[in-house]
Amino acid sequence: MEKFVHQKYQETYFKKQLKNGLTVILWHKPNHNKNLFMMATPYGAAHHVQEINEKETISHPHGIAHFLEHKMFSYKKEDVMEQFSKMGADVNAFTSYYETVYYTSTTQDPIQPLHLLLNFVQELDIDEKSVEKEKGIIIQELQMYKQQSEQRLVMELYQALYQNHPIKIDIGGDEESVLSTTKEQLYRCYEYNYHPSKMLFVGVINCDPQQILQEIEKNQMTKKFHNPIKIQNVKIEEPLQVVNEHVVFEMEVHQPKVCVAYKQTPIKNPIGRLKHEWCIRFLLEEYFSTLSIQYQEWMDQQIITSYNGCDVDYGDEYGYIMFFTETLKIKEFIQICNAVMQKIVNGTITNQVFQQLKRRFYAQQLRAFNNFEDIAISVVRSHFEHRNIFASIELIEALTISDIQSAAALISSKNHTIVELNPKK
Amino acid sequence: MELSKGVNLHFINSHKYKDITISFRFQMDAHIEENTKRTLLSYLIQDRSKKYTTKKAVNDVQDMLYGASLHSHTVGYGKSHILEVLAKFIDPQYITNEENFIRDLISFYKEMIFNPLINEETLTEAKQVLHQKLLRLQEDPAQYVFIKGLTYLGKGSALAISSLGEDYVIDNISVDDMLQTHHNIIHHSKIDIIVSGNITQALKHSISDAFQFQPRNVKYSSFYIFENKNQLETLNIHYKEVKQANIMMMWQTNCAISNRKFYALRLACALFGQYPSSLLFQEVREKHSLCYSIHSNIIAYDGVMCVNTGVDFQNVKFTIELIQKQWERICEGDFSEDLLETTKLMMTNSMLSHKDSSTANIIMKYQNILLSQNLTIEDKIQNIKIVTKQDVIEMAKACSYQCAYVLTKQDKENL
Repeated sequence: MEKFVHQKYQETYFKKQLKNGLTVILWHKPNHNKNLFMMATPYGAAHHVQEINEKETISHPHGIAHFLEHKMFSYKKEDVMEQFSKMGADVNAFTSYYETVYYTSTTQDPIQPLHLLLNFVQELDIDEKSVEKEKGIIIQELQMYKQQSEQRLVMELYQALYQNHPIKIDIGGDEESVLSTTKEQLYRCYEYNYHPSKMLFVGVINCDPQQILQEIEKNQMTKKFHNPIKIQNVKIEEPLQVVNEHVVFEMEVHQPKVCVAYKQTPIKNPIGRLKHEWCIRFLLEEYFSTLSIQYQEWMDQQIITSYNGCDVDYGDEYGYIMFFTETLKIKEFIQICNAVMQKIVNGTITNQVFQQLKRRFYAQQLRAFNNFEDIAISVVRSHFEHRNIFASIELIEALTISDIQSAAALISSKNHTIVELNPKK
Repeated sequence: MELSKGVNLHFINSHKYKDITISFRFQMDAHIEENTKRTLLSYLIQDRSKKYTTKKAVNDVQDMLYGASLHSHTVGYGKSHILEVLAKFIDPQYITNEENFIRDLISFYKEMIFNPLINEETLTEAKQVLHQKLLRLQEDPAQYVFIKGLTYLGKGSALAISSLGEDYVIDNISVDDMLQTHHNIIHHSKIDIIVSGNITQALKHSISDAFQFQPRNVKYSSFYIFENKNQLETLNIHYKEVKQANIMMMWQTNCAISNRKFYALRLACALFGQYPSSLLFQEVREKHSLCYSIHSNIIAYDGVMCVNTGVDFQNVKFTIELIQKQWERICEGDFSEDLLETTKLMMTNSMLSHKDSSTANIIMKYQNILLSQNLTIEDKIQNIKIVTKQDVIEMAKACSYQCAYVLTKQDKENL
């Protein structure tokens, strides 16, 4: 195992790739009570269309990554959750647009949960009946999210912004796609995307990393896997134009909520993308937070309320900057967003704000090392994006005002959309 | 460590974290008007102060202190209402050339707590924030049934008093009211300051020197046993344009959190609906595919248990009956010893994992304070381990079902 020690942040991890291709990263947290294990595949809701062995192209049903995540929790005809409970271990999973993750944590003996995690993720055990039964549960989950106004606002935003990118489709799909998903489609999706050579095992552990590695290797040696199938996620061509510049919909809310988003050119390089996002965050804080003198004026005039914020998000095939609030003064809010975007495009940041934000973000990133789940997810995303785990915090420390100006030069405010959620009449 | 009568300082030393947390807890009686005023005060404390008169000025100081955070809010503990000011800052060992870091940090927190900026302008904003928050809570159907359910069941008791206060009280609150509220929490509340993290002697001295409160001879009740004295409809249905029906079912537990038998009640609730192995999860979700999320919960300081879930409109009655059936099973002992042991193991796991969390340690410490006990996590685990199946049945039988509060879509075919 390779050992990596960061003296300044007092963090240590170990890394090894096994013979079957599975990569193992073990983050050592001695003097803690918990052990957390995570298995991840870089297959998520956005990977709707895949090229198989450079020959054929497959379109999976929408929501299948999420459906598969649900169905993984059956192993040797038994409920996996019950099995973990008998070991005194929590178990959970989630699907995002770019990965699916299964994890367990325990303060009891970690060895049995470790093996069970490896075993149930590395074997899909489903039949027609169990697939049909799960559909009811998933549909109730989708209904639950649909009645949450923030979730609806975000989904309407993505649908207004994106013509082709799968981010416009709910991670769980929709009722139609869920009902039409078959056992065969689930098996095929699993076969393509869950080979050990594509996956990552992460442990955030208090116990001896060598011991854990030995258990993992012992487990993997007993298993045979087919040769990995060559899979490529089909690239999406997404134009810069938005689908709809202005969307209005209604729900049972008390005040209107509005979201304004500006579509950006994606950035392919993972480190470049990470650096770019940080630079834009600095500018967003300068111009759309309490650091701006205008912020109080906007609050006093009730153009923004306490429910407000902004975000910047880039993938290798999408990018946007967005602002949201709850307000009756929608026109005025849109004007503010446009004005803030102009300032961001100009890229000016005062040295005082720059220095104080460096301190703030450095500390925030450092404090994330307190949380086992945050560490594990950060490791997963760094690994799948082929970048250093400490990249974020090191980037912040090394950032210069010139970097921010360079990032700003790539920003456009030309293609935008406004999504309004109004109270039901 | 007693700073003065009625004001105590507690330390939880740990080298696990990259930051240090200080929780200032001001305890007083729960009361609709006072809760509302204290919630407004909590917004004012974290907003601006007499020295830092703009949000930007506050932010500038926090950022130079490496993002030292300050959040204040109110929370209910039975008959008590607590205003908590939570301070979090980076452990100084991770920064360099910052000799005055602790001094400046403590000075900042002292300023914000002792000198919030209370005037017409800041109060108007705080009122708007609270109005909007209360309205937003009602937009989420799951939150809506939870709040409305407790208000309905607990009418006339502390159970129905929201820790945030009530909307109708807000507009009548004046600047003088807020100044008095601030005066009250500084001078008449019971104060506990809990510090968690890598605590040096220098930090201890800084805190005890800076936070000098006058002695006060106060005692506030927190936990009690709720007893319903109202005539209730067992099924309350309300209508909104929702995508699924949300259900809140409530029981009176007739058991105080301080009672040794409370551990058996906790086990009963956990068996009922807190883990994937629980009866609710297995029957309502897994077997009948009726819902995605279902869980039971004890509102411990009041003595109430509730179940929350979201289901399809036409399944409401069936789901309520199925949930009640699962509780009957516990009362009848229709669950295996295996399930009991599994549930104990899961509870043990949860409790031990809390030791890795600064916030969880502070909450546990505060519970010991409120209950005048000195139990470690290991003590609590032991108390869980010795609970028998018979104990669980006894405590389950002692609970009495009160009512269900349902939010659904208006449709003749539903229900």
